[in-house]
Amino acid sequence: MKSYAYALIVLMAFLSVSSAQLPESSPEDRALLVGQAENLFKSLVPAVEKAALGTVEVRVWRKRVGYGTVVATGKVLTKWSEVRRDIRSLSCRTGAGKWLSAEVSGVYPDADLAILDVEGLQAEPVRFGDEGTLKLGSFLALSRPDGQAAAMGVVSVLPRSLRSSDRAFLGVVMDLEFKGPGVLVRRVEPDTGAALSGLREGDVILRVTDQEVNGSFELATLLQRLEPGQKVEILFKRSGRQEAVNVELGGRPRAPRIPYNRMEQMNSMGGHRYNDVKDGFRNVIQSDMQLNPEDCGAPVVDLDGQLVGVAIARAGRIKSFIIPASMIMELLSTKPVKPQAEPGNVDGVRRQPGFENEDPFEMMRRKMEEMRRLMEEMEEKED
Amino acid sequence: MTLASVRPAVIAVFLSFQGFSSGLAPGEISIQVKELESKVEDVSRRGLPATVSLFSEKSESSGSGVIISQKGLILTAGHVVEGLEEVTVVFPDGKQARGRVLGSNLSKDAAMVQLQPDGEWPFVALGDSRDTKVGDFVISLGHAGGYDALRSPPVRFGRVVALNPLGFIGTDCALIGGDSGGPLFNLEGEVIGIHSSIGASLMANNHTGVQNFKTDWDRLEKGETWGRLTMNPLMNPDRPVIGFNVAGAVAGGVELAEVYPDSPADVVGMRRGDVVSRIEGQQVRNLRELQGVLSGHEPGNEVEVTFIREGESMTRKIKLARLADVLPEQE
Repeated sequence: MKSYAYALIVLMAFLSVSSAQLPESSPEDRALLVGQAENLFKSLVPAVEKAALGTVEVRVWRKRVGYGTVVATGKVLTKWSEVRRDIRSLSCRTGAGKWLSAEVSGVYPDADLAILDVEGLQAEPVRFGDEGTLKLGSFLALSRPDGQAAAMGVVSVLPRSLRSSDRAFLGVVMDLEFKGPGVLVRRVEPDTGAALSGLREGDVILRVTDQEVNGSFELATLLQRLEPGQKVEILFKRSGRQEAVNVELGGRPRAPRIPYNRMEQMNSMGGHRYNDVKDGFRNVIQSDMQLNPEDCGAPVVDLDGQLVGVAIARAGRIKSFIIPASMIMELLSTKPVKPQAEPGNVDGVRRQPGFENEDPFEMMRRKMEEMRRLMEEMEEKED
Repeated sequence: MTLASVRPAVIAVFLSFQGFSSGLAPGEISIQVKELESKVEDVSRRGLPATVSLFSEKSESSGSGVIISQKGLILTAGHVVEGLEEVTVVFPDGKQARGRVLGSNLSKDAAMVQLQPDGEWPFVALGDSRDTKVGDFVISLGHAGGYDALRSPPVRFGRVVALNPLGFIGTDCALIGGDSGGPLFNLEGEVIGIHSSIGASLMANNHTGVQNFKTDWDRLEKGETWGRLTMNPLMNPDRPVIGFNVAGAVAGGVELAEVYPDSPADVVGMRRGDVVSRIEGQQVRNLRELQGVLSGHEPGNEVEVTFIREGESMTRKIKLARLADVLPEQE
């Protein structure tokens, strides 16, 4: 068959990537899938309804760069790095189609969030809920100003910090090939807790405080779940004798687990777009929700319509991040810093003409329409 | 091993989606979506402890796997353990153990690992991939990006979007490096597939069906390794073929451009210009439909092929060959 000819095979060590496409699914299957997705999205409307009243579009010139969550009368929360490109040409568009000019009044740089002042905005502020009720696999929907769900996903990972400085670091390089029991220290990094405590190359770590360690993963897991500044007692073996030291843990960035380039290549396959600021948040819910970069800033609700967070980034092929409601409320109780436009980018260097930012629901409708036309054409040919 | 179980529930949930959007009061969410959500939460909770990361000190590579028996038998992808005899098995809670690599069928990207020692391990049930349908809801787990002490293996929810050749399942549960070998669950929490490969589209995530393990269970368990790793299923040497190139779709079926010498098509006297109209009684209007019918068969199976030559319809019984046997230079 003809299809032999187009084989171009790319193999990868971790996840094999096929550059050749699989056989196309049939029009019937595609129609079924589109219909199913449409039904699923329709079923989410009651959940987003209320949050949608407090959702606006945030635009630079006429291009949508994000959504915004109305957090107080005339105050809108949105993604800072997406609006800072051109903070002098910001406007908000309400679900009713009203255009209002907006100004950045304050920024929470750690969370990449900005507060916009929008004069004349009538929308009622949203009410934040409690993300503590979420479980792994709980459904999430992204609210859009027109009362539709802009995206759907599940809770992939419960809230956690992405900041490397939040992770405890001992300062030893472990010998991965050592068969145990315990963990063999291959090297001690200078000026770390381990070095200061006197641990050295050749020591075999047996216990951390009360927990036995059977290998490098167990030791790494244990340490990463502790906090910098915490003190632990380490029991180790040196020249056949057991000794113990007290170590004060530090903080340090972790090494990438999969070679960076390879992950980036897989992430960028198919030309998916991600936000520029997509990591380092202090507290996020991870979801498989397929956000567009310009969907950030919108409220995220659970099936009960409870507002559990604000979308903050599309971070990769499999993940989007949401800042949990409790974190947002904590931020809002603090004073934001004064905004500063992106250096060298003040006049919207990255501004793009046109309106390519079609929203997912519209795209789905358009694709369905195309498919319907295609199927009609095919049926005509058969007759 | 746990054998076939029928699961009408998945289909039932899907069907109920057809009509649930009507008749709801404002703000009221349909019961069906709530039910679906609670199933996804349940499968995530039960599947998590059995979803392990497999790490090789030798190759410094990492993939995933899923424990499917109390004794600690792990299913994973063939390419995750290729060339390895031993792996470190890391549990979502950070505990680690050794795993002995058993057999692999690389053509189907299916492999087994045995936890050491065998004993009381968390495990999940095996399902049946044969009754999987496009539109079935599925849940995917895996140690995406490798083991991460700070997060559990990410949950992804999606649907079956295609039934691919050789018992592979296509879904829209997005995968990435490190996920390979991880489990694809049905809504009952049974493993129906193992993550294998990705394509550019977010809709192109390919999983090897558990039937691919069941067919060769004993060989895999005994530690046999065979087959060839090919991520393009159309190039898979074990793909069933009749032995012709297609010129294109014409009225009545697909026209043959060329018949390979000594192929099953050649043996029964098919030739250039013949128009294949039916296989096993199923109409084939284009290449895609033809591939679709063939993908449901194995090399060695006999299929009835109907073709038209100069207005005359003929039917022949044809024994399907392996792609590699028709195109030996491919191997």
